[in-house]
Amino acid sequence: MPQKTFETRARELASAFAAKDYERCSHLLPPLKVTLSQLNILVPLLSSELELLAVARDILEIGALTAIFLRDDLLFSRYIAQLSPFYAMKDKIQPPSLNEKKLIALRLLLLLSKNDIAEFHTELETLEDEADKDIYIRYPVTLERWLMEGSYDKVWKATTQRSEVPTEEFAIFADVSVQTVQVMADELLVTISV
Amino acid sequence: MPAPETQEPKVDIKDEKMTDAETVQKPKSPEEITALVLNDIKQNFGFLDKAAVNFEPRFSMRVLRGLGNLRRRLTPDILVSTVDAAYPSPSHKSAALILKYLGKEASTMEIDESLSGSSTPVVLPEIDIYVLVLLQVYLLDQGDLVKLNSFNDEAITILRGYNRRTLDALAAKMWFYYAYGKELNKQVVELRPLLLAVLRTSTLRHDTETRAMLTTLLLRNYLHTQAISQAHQLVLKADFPESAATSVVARYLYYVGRIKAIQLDYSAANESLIGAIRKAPQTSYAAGFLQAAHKLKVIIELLMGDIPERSWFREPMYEKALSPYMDLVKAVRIGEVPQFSETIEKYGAVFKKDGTYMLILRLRQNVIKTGIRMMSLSYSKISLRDICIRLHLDSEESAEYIVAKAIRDGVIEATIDHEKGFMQSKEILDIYSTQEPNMAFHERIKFCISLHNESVKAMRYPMNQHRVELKNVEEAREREKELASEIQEGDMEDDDGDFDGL
Repeated sequence: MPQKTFETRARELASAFAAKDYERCSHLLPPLKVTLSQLNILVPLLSSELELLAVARDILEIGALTAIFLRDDLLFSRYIAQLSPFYAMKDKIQPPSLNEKKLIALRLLLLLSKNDIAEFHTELETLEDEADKDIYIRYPVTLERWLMEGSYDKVWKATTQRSEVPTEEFAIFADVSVQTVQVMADELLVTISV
Repeated sequence: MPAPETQEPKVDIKDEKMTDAETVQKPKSPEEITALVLNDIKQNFGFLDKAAVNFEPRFSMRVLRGLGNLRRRLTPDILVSTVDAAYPSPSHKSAALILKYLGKEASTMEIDESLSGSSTPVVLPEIDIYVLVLLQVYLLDQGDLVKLNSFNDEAITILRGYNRRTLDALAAKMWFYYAYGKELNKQVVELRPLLLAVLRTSTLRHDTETRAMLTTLLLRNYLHTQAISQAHQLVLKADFPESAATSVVARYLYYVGRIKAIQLDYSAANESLIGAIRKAPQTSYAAGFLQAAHKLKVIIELLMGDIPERSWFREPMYEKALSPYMDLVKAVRIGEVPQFSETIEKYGAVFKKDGTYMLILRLRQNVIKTGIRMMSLSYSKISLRDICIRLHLDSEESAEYIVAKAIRDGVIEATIDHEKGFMQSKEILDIYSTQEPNMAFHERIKFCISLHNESVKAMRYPMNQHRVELKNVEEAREREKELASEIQEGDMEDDDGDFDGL
C-alpha cells in the first residue's frame, strides 16, 4: 500500500517543516519525490487525479522553501522549475496554493541578486496584473526599479532593515543582493573618483 | 496581446464604408453582384488549376491575395453556388459538409446529382481546400464561434488527408483560420500539441508555407499565455524559412521583436520590428498589424534612449491609435517624472490591452536619465539639491547615486563633487571626433547590403526557362557559324578585289 505510507510521510514532512527542522525535511524529501514519480504525479497531466496533485504541489513547495533555508540556490531553482507546470494549471487544482506568490517573488529576487535581468523580466511578464498588487511580488519589482535608476540608498535600506523585508525567507536572499549592491556601489564610486 | 487580427473589424468597417460609396456611384442589383462574385471565384478556380498543373505557387498566392476583398462579399447563396460549381455532386464529402454548415439541404442540386451520378470525377484538392477556406472565413465573419470551431475540426481532417506541395499556400491559410478560431474559443493551450505535430510534419515534407505559418502561430500561441521562455526556445531551435510569404515573415518578425524586447535586447528587437513594418503590406487591410508594430516600436525606441520621429504620429492610419503613445513620448522627452506617471495612470488600461504596460514601466529610468541629461546640457554646474527638486527625487543621497550611475552608463559627461554636493558638466565634445558618425554609417551600409542581398534572393526564375535559352543559344551559334563562313567567303572575295585594285 504505497498510497497510505505516502500520505503519512507527506504529513510527517509537513510537521517537520512547521517545526522548522529543515535538516529533517531535506532527508524526508528525496524518497517522497521518488514516490511522487512512481504515482505519476511529479509532472501534472490533465488526466492526473486533482486531489493528489494538490498534495504533490504542497510537497514541492515545502521542498523549495527548505532549499531557501538551507541556502541552496540550485536546489531552489530546480524545485521552482518542477512547480511551474502545477502553477500553469492552477485553475484546476484545489485548494489554491498559499505559497505560490511568495515562491515566485523569491525566484524573482534570486534572479535579481544574480543580476539576470533578462530572465527577471521574462518571468515578470507572466504576472502582468499582480506586479503592483501582491505584497510579495511588489518587493523584488520595486528593488529592480531602484537598482536600474540607481537609487542604491533605497535598495540598501529595503534590504538591510528587517522591517522592510516581507518574510524571513526574503531576508536570506536579500543578504545576497545586499552584497551585489555593495559591489555595484563601490564600483561606481571608484569609476567616478578616478 | 495586440493581435494583428483583433483590430481587423475596425478596418472592415472602414472598407465597408468605402464600398458603400462605390455602390452609390454605380448602383448594382444584388443579382449582378452575386454574379460578379461568382465570376471571381470561378476565375480563381482557373488560377488554382493552373497552379496545380504548372506547379507554380504564384497563382495560388494571387488567389489568396484576393481573399480579403472577396471575404466581405460572401453570402450563403454565393457559397451554395460555389459548391455547385466546385464539386461534381453535392454528395461529395466536402460539399455535404459545407452545405450542412450553411444550413442548406442539397435539395436544389438533385438534378445535378442525377446527371453526374454515373461517373465520379475527382475534385482538384486545391479547389476543395479553397472552398473550405472560403467557408471558414464566412463563418468567422458571421461570428458564430461554436459553429466555426466544429467546422474547422472537420475541414482540417480533410486537409490532413492531402499531401501535395501545390497545396502549401492554401493549407497555411487554412491553419491560420483554424488556430485563430481556436484562440477565439479560448482553447489556446490545448491547441499546442497539434500545432507542434503539424510543424514537424511540414518540416519533413519541405512544406515551406505551412512551416512558416505554424511557427508564427505557435509563437502567437505562446505569447498569448505569456510563455515567453518557450517562445524564445522555439525561435532559437526552429529555423524560420526565409522564402516564406512576406506577410508571414512580417508577423514572425513582429513576434521575435516582442520576445527580444521582453528580454531587454532592444537593438535586436528594433531591427526585427523595422523588418516587420517594412515587410507588412502597406494597405488598410494590414492597418491593425502596422499599428501594433508601431506601438511596440515606439516603446523600444524610447527604451533605447531615442525619440521616435514625430511624423509617424501624424499619419492618418496611426494618429488615433498612437495618441496615448504620443503623450508618453512627450513625457519621456522632457524628462518629467510626474508627467510620466500621470500618462501611465491615464492610459494604463490601453497599454495593458496592447500588452506594452510592463515595457512602459521600464521607461521610468529613461525618464530620469533624460532629465539628468537635459540638466547637464543646460547647466555647467548644478547642485545635487536642485537636481533632487527638479527630478522629484526623495533625497540628495538618491540624486547623487542616480547621477553617478548616469555618468557610468555614459548618459552624461560630468563629474560629481561629493564634498560640496554639486555636479560639474564637462565641455560638450565635437560629435565628429567620436565614434558616432562611424556607427551611423555602419548601420546604413549594413541595411543597404542586406537589402541588396534580399533582392537578389527574391529574384524568380521561371521553370525550364533555361531550356528555351539553350535552344536560342544553339540557334545563335548556328547563325554565327553561317555568318563566319559568309565573312570568310566575302573576305576572300575582298582580298581578290584588293589585289585587283593594286
